[in-house]
Amino acid sequence: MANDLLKLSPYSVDGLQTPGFNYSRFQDKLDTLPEDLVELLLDPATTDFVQSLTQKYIQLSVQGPDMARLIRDVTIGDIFIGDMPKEISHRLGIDQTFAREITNLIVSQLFTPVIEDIKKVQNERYPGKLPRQNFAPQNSGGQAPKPTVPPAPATQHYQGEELPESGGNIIDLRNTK
Amino acid sequence: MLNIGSIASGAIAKVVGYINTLLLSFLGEVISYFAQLLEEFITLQTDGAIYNVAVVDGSWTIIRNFVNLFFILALIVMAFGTIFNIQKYTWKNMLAPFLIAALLINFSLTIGQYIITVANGLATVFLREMQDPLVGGIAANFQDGFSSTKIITSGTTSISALQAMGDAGAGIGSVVLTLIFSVIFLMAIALAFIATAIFSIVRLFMLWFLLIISPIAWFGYTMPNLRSGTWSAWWKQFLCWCFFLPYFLFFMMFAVIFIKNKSLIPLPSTLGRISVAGMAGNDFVFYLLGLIFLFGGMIMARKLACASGTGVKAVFGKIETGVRKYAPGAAYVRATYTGAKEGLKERGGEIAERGLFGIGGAQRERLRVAETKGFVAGIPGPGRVPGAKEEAYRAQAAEVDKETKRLQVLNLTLDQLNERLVKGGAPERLAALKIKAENGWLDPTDLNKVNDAMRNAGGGRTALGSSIISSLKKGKFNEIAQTTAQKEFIFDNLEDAEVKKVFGLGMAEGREVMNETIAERLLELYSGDAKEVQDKVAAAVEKNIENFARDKTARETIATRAVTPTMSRAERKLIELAGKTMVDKKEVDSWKIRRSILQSAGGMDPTTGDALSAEGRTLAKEIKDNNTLFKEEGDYRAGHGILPTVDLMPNQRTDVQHQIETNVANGLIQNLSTEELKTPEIYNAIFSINAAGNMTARLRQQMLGKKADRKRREAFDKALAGPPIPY
Repeated sequence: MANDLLKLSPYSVDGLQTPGFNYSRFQDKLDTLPEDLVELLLDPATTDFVQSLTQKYIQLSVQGPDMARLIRDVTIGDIFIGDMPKEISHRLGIDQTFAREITNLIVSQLFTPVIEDIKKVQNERYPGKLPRQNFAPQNSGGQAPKPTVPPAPATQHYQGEELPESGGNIIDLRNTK
Repeated sequence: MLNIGSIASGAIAKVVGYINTLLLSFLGEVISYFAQLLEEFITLQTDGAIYNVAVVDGSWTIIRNFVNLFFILALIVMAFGTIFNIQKYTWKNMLAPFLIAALLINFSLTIGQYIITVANGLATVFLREMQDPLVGGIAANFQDGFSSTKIITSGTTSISALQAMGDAGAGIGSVVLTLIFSVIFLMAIALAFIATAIFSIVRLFMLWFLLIISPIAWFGYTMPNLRSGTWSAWWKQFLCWCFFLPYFLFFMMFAVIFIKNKSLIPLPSTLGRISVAGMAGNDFVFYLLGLIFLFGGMIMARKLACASGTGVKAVFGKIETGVRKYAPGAAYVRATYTGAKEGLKERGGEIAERGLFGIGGAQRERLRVAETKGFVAGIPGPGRVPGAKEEAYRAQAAEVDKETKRLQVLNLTLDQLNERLVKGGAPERLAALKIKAENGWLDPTDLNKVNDAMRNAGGGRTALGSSIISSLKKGKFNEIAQTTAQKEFIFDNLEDAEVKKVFGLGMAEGREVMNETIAERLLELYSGDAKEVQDKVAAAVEKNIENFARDKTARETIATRAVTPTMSRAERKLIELAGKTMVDKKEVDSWKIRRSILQSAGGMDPTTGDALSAEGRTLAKEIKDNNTLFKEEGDYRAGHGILPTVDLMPNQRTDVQHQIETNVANGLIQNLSTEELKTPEIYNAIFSINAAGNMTARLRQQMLGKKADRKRREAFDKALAGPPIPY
């Protein structure tokens, strides 16, 4: 249903009538966010991205709204970006390695165009927690395009495989520039 | 036989003579006291009141010790300046001044004292010249020159002489005049001595103070950014106060020389027999010369010793202004340094113009003639002179302008203006009010004075009234009060329509019209003016509509009021302005509002719905371009042949909503404004699309547009959540 698609939007996943959701606090937060991050939350491409994740990974097929909430919470700074793998694992009930992989996808494909704004929000909310070096998602080669459908699972790292050079962390402490 | 007139004149002259003796003796005492004070302080300063003053030495030591602490700070600043390569603060630029200051700060007191000694040495040279072993010091010399006894005992003013004048039938007027001139002259002398004595006292304390703070000046020399504020300023002040005394004594010396040697200066013998201001003519000449040197010396000393902007100059300026303002013989004081001729002429002119003691004066006569003309002109019947009344007001305006210029020259304070506003004659009162107004010094308590002034001026349309109004405008009359309530009170209580118009327009331009009644009354006040003026006022009032019609509903209430034939022009204009505001704010979302707006803006064709005036057509175009719902409703009406004068039925409005839903899906409706999102048909369309499960993030973006602000987002989310608005 099309209405379900709105539930995959980080902006609309919870609304005025969602029990326990503080709509006006959310709007207050949006007022303080950089415009590009607000746009990221409202962008249909973000919804498409979440939808593509639910389609590609069977484990996530019914967890689109939770994914959308997680993206929203990281974007507005309610979750520390370094805690994303743990949060995904916890909220979606998946193992750490898979959670790390999903995190990696979100950062590399969704957050890359707005990474500086994300860093700014995260630094304001969690001062000193982010490493000082530029962090960049793995596999990113400069300015990434708009979020796209993630690559096939076969190309991704799975449990048991050798970890990438960064040790699988989403935050690469090396200056990649 | 006894001559009764002679006895009466003799008696009056006797009384005047006693008063004269009393006043002149008192002034003589004042001069004597201040001349002695002046001498004491000058002698004290040249005798070394600069050295070995325990309080100065002690205070200087404390300041020096304290300032020495800051040299460590200067070293740190220099270090950082060198590290960060801040040009002014590198060691290359700071080291030399630092070392000089660190060394010489310990001698700052001695250096200062030495300079004072040099200045005092010069002063002593002139002082010595002024002292006469036979007569005495400066005071004695001046007392000799300016003695009141010269006036009291001089032939023309002694009691017997006055009596003789009376006996001779000279007239009591000339006796009194002699008395007044004598008093004025002595007051000028007294003022000169008071001013110079005060300065000689102030100089001593200023020099002490400057010596005490001299370590700060030396420290300031090390810090480039502090240098001008401390080092340069200190030297400027110090040199100024130091050398003021020798310069002043130099000029004073000439005064004394003239007085001491008056017997050697050949003056025509006839001069001694002439009485000038109650004195023998030759005494008067020396008296005047002494006065010129005393005052001229003070002014020249200031110019020579101090560069502009120093404290001495500022204080001197104040004293000069004070003398000019308060001395009863202001013109005479000015005469001492601008030239006796000009001063006397000015004073004479002043008396001729304004009269003396409320009697006579050309101004009074001109006003009397003007008032008489005006009065005659105001009598109906054959005696009426066309334009004479206006001529009378013009004459008054000219007099008030003259008074205004006169008062402006005096540079009066607010208190002084207020005094003149209460005690002055009619032209002076109006002039004082004008100056207050132009300076923006009016306050709400002046409301009655403004009303009185306008009443006296014959209203705002006379020459005098316009002149007052132009002053009110110049001083931003509408800022007279702080709060809106006060301003509304003033607007309500201003009596003259022209003043009320100016005040009201000021309020409107400042967006301070907070209630509809005032807006309407302002429009009413201007309804008889030229169209351009009315348009200007309307534009100003339009900016205030949101002050009293805060939301769309309130604006709609005004804009949709039925226009009746009994309505005033102002009421109709207000409706039109509320409609325009709605158009500007893109709030016109129904044909009903459109209809009202077009009707108030010149009418609407009931069959086609077209506006009948050019202004209406512009508004109609803006409405159509601005509002999606209005456009959709227009299309629906056109498609179903529904006249613009007829309101839509609820089922027809539901049809319009469906039409909107279709057009959203087709991508024809985009970028809706907050107001549009709140209109029932669009609001319900969003709810309906969402309820049907057809709302997508893409549709949302299409309706909101990119970078939607909070208001727009919230309006959209509210529509998503529902419930729908019933039609």
